[in-house]
Amino acid sequence: MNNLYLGDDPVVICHGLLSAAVLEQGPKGEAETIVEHEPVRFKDVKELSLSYRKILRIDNLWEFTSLTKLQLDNNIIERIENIFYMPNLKWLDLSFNRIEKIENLNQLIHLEDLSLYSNKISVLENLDKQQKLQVLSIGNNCIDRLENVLYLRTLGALGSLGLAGNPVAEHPEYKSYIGAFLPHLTYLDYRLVQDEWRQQGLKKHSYEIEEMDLLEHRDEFEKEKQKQQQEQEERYREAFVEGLSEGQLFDEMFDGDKDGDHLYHMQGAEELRETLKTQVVPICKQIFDVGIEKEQQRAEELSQLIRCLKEGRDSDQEKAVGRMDEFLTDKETLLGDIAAAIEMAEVAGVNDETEAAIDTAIQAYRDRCQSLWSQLMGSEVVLNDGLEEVIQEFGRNLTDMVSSMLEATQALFAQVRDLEAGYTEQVTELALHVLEKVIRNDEDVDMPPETTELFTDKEVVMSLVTGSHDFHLQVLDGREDRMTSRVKTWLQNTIANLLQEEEKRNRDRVIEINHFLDKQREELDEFEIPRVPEMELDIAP
Amino acid sequence: MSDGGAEAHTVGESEEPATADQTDGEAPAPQENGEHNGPAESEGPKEDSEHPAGEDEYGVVPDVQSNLSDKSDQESHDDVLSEGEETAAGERDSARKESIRDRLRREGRERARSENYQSETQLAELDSTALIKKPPSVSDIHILARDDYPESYTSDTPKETKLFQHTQRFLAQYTHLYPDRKPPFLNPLNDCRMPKCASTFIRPSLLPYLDCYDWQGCASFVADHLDYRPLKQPTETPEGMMSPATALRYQTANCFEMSTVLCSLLVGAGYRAYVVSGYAVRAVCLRDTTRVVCPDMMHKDEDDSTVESAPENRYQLKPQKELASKYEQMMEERVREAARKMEREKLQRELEETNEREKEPPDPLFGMRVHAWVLVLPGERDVTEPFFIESTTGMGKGIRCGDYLGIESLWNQTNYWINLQYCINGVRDLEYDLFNPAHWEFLLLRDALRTPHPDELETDLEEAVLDADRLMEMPLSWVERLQVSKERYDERFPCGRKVMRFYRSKLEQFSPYTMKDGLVRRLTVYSDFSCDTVETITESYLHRADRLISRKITPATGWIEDKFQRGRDDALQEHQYAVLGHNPEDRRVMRYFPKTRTDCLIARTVGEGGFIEEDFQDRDDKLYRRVTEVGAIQKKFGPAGTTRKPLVSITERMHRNPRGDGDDGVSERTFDLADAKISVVFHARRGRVTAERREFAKPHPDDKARLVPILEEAAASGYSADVDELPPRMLDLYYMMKAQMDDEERAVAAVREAEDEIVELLNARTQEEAALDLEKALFDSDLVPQIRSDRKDLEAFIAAQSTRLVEKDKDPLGPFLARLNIPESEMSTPVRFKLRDECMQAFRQRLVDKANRLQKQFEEETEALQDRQHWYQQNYVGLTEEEEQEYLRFCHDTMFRLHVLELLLERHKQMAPVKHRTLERRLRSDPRITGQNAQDG
Repeated sequence: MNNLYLGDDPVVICHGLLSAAVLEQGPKGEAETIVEHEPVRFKDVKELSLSYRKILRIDNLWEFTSLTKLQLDNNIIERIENIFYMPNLKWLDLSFNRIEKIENLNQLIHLEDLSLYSNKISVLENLDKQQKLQVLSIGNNCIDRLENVLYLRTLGALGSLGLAGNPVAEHPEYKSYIGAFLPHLTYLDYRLVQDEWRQQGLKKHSYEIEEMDLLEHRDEFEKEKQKQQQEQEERYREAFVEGLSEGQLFDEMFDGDKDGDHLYHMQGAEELRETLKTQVVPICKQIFDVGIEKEQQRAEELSQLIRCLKEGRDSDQEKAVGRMDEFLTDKETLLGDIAAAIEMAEVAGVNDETEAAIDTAIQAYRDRCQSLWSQLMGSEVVLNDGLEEVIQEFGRNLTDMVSSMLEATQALFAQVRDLEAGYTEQVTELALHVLEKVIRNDEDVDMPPETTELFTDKEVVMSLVTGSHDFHLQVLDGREDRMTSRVKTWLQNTIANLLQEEEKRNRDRVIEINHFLDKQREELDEFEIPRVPEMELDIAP
Repeated sequence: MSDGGAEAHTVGESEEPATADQTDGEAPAPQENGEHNGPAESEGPKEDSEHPAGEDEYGVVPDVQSNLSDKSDQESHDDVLSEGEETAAGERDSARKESIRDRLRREGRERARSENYQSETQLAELDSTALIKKPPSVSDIHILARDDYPESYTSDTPKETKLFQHTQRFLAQYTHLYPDRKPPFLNPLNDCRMPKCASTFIRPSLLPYLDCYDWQGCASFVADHLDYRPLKQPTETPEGMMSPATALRYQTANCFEMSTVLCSLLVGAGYRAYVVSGYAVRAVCLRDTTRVVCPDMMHKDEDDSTVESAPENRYQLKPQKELASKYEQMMEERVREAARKMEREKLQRELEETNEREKEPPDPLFGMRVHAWVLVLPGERDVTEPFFIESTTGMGKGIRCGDYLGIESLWNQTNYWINLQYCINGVRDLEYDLFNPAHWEFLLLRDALRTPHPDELETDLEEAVLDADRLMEMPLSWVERLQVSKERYDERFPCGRKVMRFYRSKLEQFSPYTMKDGLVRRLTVYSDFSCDTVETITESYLHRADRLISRKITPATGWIEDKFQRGRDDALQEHQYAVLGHNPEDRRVMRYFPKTRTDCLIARTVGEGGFIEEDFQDRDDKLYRRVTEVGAIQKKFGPAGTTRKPLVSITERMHRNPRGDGDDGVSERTFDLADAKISVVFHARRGRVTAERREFAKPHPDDKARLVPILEEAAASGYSADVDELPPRMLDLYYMMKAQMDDEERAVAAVREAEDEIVELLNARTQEEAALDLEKALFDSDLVPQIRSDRKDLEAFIAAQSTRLVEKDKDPLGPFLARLNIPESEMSTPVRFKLRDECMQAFRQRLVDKANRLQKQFEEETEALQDRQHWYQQNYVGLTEEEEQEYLRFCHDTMFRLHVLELLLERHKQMAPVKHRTLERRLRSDPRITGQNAQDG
């Protein structure tokens, strides 16, 4: 079919072509008159068809950002490209082209219907992002491996698949295989998937299918688990106590401790460390518990604040809307008065009296606008002040809470430090004891040779002990500092965000009120107010 | 009327004429004479059992006091007779009826005149009450002959005799110790005039109905089911009373009988209940509830407005400062306070005046009126506080209740206690620790010993040992178990209706299916004490085919509120309308059951001046209200009738439709049909206070040139809340307008449909009201007289049908009897034998015939087969295949038939003697042959 166009020159998508297409496919009937008056903007166009146009390259479509349906069938396109800026695209027709590879579709995540019929595609691929894809028409292509169809298992929404005309469709097990491996599929080649095919396939490939299901389930499970873990970790992080729930901190203290490793080879050092662990881990847990508890308190506090803010804003908004409605009812009568006054003037002739009447009416309207403005602005100012005050109060409360939390954790960290000091003392004693033994060349010293070497000089041994102690303290201090600094940053950010949000709301509201009133005042300009002409006469000479 | 009632007339008939003649003879004689006759006649055992009187069978000579007080009683007699006779024994001699009725009525009036304290209105009150009620007639009472009662009613067991002796001694001591006190109600006479201990009147029984498991259910059942008869002599305890079983049977009782019935049921349901004999105020004794607020109305006032307090929030916005003069506020407040005070005082004054006006007149018999009620003590069935139940009304009362003025004694099925406490302050200060001998004197020690008072223990025990009599047990009740059939229980009220008057209200109750329109209760509320001005009438219905369950009428405003059950095709739940509002344009409110209609309509209001307001719930398009203004029909020349009223405007309001893209949809739109305009207001976007507005003047479909100006106008005049937003695209506006115009069309269609529906509904309601029909609940069919009789007829018909068939089928003698044509009774023995022989002969003949027939058939078949075989043997050479096939099939079939015939013959040979013997035996025992019937006759 493409041969029809082979003889001619390919066409490039240009503005003229697009304009013509848009105009041709634009609204009909009454709306046409409007289009004549006000041309359609490309960015508003929802559907576009560029069929039978000998297009070689998809290009220059970047203005059509709100397209939901794009037809590019019966062209001579060779590559899928330059369509990523149409994120709303649901329907894409690229049938009867010369495409060889499925690609560049990653951005089109809303795609529901994709037609690649009669192309030169040999592999099903790059469709992972199209989880909403319901209809895939890819018949008359060069797909030749039945296993390749399994790729479509990841597309959960796929209900209809057209594969006829591919080499793969000649396969004797074509129907049963696909029926069995794509359980969600309802239509194959636009025919209902028969249960017999499925059963047949299932019978034959039951083992493979089970295995595949199992693997997929396992993957899903793993993902789920990971996600949960991440969420939990995230929660702990919000409470600033990540890595404190179990012995992680303790392990951290000893894992990078190179000096301590040497000491660890001493007899009895292991027991000492175990004892320390049993003492330190519960304290870590305590820190963790304190953190979680305080985090809950903070969340509760925050939710109370948000409720208060919401109530305040909602009630103010309600009041404001009520005032607006009042104004709108008043407005009608006031504008009616003005119109009546003008009419009077027109009927009775313009004179000072009528002018005065018109002016009074206009002034009444202006006054009403002004009173609305002052009402709205007044309550807005009060609300803004009140909300800011509440947020400041919240900030003070939050600061108190945070400092109480830090105090509690600091005390616990101090306990850990004390324990560590005790441990160091014991290790020192032990080290000196071992040193003596080594110096005495006792037989029952069972240590690796390089460690034994170190245990010949007291200075060295003492420096080992100190080094290990310093490292431990460093880890502890680091953890504590991290917590403190992060807590403080969080505190500042929270308050700042709240204030900023309130400020933005306030700005928006003020702008909105003024905009509304400007609009209302503008309506006065619509009246053609007859004026007494003599004023001009006076000025003229 | 119950079966008992019908029976009553047949039994009582022989007695009645005598009494009537007597009274006829001395027509102007006062009632006392008649009553004197009562005891005179009741001497003899025969007369006693058949005596018709209700109260006077105890032979009390009435004194002036009783004359004064039992006026209402008499009146009920009067109407009782008239009503009862009209309904149940209409065929009775009307002349006699007249005389009795006249006599009683006249006497009643005389008595009434002699009452000096009863106001005329109260008289009218009681009169009308009695008229409406149809209690069983006097002659119904005691229709059971003495012989009809079980033996336990007429005789004493040895135990009872012993108890009687004991009570006599007890009474002797009592009168000796307390000579001033009246003798207690200890040994009343029972239905058969046997003295029985009051405790043995209580027969604990549990009725098999769920409601009767709680005291409220029991009490209201007793109050509803029994017709209350005030005591004959208000200041004297009666000499006797009916057993509870009899009372239930005749559905009439005085306070003692009612309390006994109620106590029996309560004890049966596990309560610690006692019958109390004492004194009460007049209103209670006469069951005058005109000063009691109707319990149903009290229910209405209850509103459980539990305010859920929101959780305390730590953060509160400071309220905006009110800039106003405090002094001015104070002054205003002062003025308001003064006005309020005035108002309060006025109300107070009015209330006092009303109270004064409605106060009960003083009772000359105050404190002397004997009454009986029920006491429930804590201990069983989760009762924690003792309380009284007024058995005549079924209401519970506190033990400090001022209605009761004193207690003489109380009893249950196990013992009898006499009150030793002073009742100067009524029952207010009484203690109910029945085991405290300082407060209560017991009749039987045994029961009293269960929890003895520590101080009294020893002396009591000593006494007990000495006085073996007092250790005896209360004998079991001699009364039959109390039973109420399902039919009677469901009927509930005597004769299917009950009328009670309460404070400024009247409550009428009817048994289901008795009223043609399904009415079961009607509560009329009056605005004044004399019940002249009706405030509201609330009617409840049951089993109506149109699902109407209640109707409230307010005569002052002429407003009717109908409420319906679920199940109507149009899902109507409530319909409010004016009494005379039969036009579709009249003011009315229709509410529908939510989630039932496809258009989600929940209410539709038709208002004055032609507007229709519709409320919707949970609609997909978020529409929740549509208000339509309907104009008047413009006078036009041409055929009238088909034109509909023009719609002026339709306003629709929608809920927010959160679509997530910031656009929450239309909030309100008005289709101005008169001016061909559409104005649309959108919902304000989140956090905004102003909303987009658009107004369109509808273009004419043919006028394309106007379209663009219209849209330009709309773009300019509309308001957009967003400051930065560019003016709307005309194409978008065009589509918006188109959508609104489509919606307008739809709205107009919906309104027209609504108008049609209102007309349809009114028609349907008129039809339903005209053709009243009750739906018969599946298990209630016994209650509907029509169904019941229909079903009985049908059953009888089926039974008759089946017996006739059986007889016809099995009578071997029938044809012979018919041939003889002699009546059965006139047959002589030889004829009978001849008949039998003939019958046997014929039967034998039939058997032989049948054997012959079979044999003949067999032979014929054999012959045919032989012939055919012969033919085959001769011609089998030249036969075609078809012919051969045919021959073979023939042979096969014939062989089969022969085989069957052979079997039949064989069987016949075996069965013939058996059948013969059976018939012979049967004839021998047949009464027509043996002549048994004839001999009996």
